[in-house]
Amino acid sequence: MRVNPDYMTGLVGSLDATSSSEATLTEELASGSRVNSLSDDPVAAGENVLLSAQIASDDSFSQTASSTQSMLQVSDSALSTVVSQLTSAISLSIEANNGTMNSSNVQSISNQLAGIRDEVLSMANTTYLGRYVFSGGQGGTTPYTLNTTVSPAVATYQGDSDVQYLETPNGQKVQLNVPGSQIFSAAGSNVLGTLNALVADYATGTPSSTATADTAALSTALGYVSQQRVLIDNSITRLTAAQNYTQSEQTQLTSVQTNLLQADVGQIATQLSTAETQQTALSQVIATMGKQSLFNDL
Amino acid sequence: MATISTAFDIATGALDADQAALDIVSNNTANANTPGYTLEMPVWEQNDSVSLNGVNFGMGASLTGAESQRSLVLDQAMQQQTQAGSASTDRLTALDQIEALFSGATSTGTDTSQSSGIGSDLSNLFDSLSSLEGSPADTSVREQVLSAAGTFASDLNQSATQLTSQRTSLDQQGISVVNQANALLGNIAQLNLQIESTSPDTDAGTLEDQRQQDLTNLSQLIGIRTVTTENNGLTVTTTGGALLVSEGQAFSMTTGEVGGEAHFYDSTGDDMTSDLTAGGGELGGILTARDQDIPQTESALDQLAYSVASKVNSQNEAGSDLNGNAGAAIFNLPAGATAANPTGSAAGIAVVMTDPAQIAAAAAGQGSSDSSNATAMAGLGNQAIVSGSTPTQYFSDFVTTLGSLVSEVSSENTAQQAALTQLQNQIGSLSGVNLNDEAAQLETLEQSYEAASKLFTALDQVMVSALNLGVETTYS
Repeated sequence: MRVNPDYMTGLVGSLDATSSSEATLTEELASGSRVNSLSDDPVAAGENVLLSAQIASDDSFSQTASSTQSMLQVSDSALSTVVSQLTSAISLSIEANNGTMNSSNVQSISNQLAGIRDEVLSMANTTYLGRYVFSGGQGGTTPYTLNTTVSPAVATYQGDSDVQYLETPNGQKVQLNVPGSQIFSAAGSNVLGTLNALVADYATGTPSSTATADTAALSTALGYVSQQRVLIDNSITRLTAAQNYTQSEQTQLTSVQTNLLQADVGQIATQLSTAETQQTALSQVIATMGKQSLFNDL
Repeated sequence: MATISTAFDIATGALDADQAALDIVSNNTANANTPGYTLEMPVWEQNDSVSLNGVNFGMGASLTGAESQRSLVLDQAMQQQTQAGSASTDRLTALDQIEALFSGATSTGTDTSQSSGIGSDLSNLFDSLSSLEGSPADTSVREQVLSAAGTFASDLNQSATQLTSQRTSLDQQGISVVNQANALLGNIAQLNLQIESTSPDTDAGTLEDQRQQDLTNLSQLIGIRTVTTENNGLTVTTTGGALLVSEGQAFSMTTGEVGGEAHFYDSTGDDMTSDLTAGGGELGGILTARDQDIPQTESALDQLAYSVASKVNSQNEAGSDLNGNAGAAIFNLPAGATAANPTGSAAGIAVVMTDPAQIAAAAAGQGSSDSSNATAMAGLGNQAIVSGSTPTQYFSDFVTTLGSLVSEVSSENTAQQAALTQLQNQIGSLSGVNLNDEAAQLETLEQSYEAASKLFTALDQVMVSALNLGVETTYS
């Protein structure tokens, strides 16, 4: 049977194919990735786009959560100061109400309560990175202003009742603020209003007739402030949990991604060695075959 | 009655025939590496015998010529396989370039400084918007949103530009292929004339070799069909039926521009671009990439650009910016682009917003610390806003589809090349010059030449004996 005498082209073609497969394998070894172009594994490439996006979004959420947590902590510590201030205000009022004090002492309590009110007011006007944290959506507006020209003095809320949320990668919404109107001047538990009333109650040196009722209202308000503080604390806890979750998800996804794209070094090395053997064999065949011709023997 | 001189004639004829056969062997050996050369075999023929007194005497052998070892069936198959093979090779080359534009999709790592393409641009854009939820008034976070939007737009612009320039270069390649093909058509017509005049009835040998070689080259370039006509002529048409060569006349193809794209016309001026696309050959591959693969890629990018930009724009317009003004558009899209026909969006998308304060993080009418509109914008990243998929899912599907197409064409190309090699082997085993065969023939012919020469010497002795009638040395 006649065969194609031009076997050399075929052999050289095989040699080229081996070289090209060696090049691919070397590239995989060098990059450590088995997918270096989309067509190497289209499904893995598509999957990688999704994984990378999820990892990037987890990473970005972790960073956002950290900075947001600082803000929540500032709010929390402000409220903690308010709680301790209100506690001492209540004990001062009870002292003034029990009728054992002379008028100058009662007036001094009025002054001390005014000091506490100022402290609470400044806490209500707390800022984080230049933004007021208790003014709802109006971060650029001072939440409370105090008008002391009237008696009792009047604290006016200038923010709004807007509540902001941070959405976690799982779609959970974490509350980021409590509007000041809900903490310091809520109907039925008006902290600043009650403090102002108490200051006026004791200003004359004799506790006025509403002093006892106002003291009781302050206790109610304290309880309410603590409840609002729980909202903030809950957010901090949920944010920490979400952050931990995204971080562990990120770790997990990264390992999935690595598994998906990682080159199997052992396997590639074996393939490379096979390709090399094949190349050597082909070169020898070409060298040997090239020498043989019947013309040599004529 | 047989005579001695007849024997001389037979020996002379044998020497002539052997010489002619040696010529053929030499020619084969000399052309062993000539492309398109077809092995020629000497055709031996037994001379007519002579019947004398009822006895048949052979009159030796002669050589009637050389016969090319050619199979028209294999040649035709070769042409078609060449067309299919070179079409997929050229398409694959073009696809490899398209694929390289999106190779960022295979990179890993969350390092945002590393350019990993449109996929990571998308996640950066929506992640920056979700960072805005936590600190809606922070200018640096707002800057990040604008910069992510800018990168997204410029990466899309760049991909679109590269696709356009690839389309232009494919156009130029196509035109140059047609020019080469036209030159070959002229050659084939010329050869047709020569073949018809020199050997209308039989294989035309080297002329036929040249014509077949030209046809193979032509098949490499465009899709053709051939029909053998009377007098050994050849009619060549495109696979779509447009006449290219008839007898001695070549009908050149022409090129022209329609809507900024090269189109191809037959000699009568009919547009045969789509026929040539389906026909195969380099031109078929080039045109398939130009008219099918690149437009598909472009339209996917346009869709992505349009959907993301228009949704983000309208969401931003629904909110209030840092200064309490109604939100404006972040992206600018080309004037003619619509949801149904977003053509040009990827090339034309741009970020028009320059002041980060204009990003409307707050819901309409809310204060500067409100972030509900930022939440809504970030939420677009997880909504099915691009042809029923989320933007990232859409891009991921696009990457998978493109990768699968490249991989499919690549395997197809491998199969085509294997089939081509198979055919080359078949043709080679029939028509190729095997030097060992030639060496063997040479040896055989040398011996038979030697034998015929010896025959002379012997016949000479016989003649001498006849002339001297058995008496030695009188005449020698």
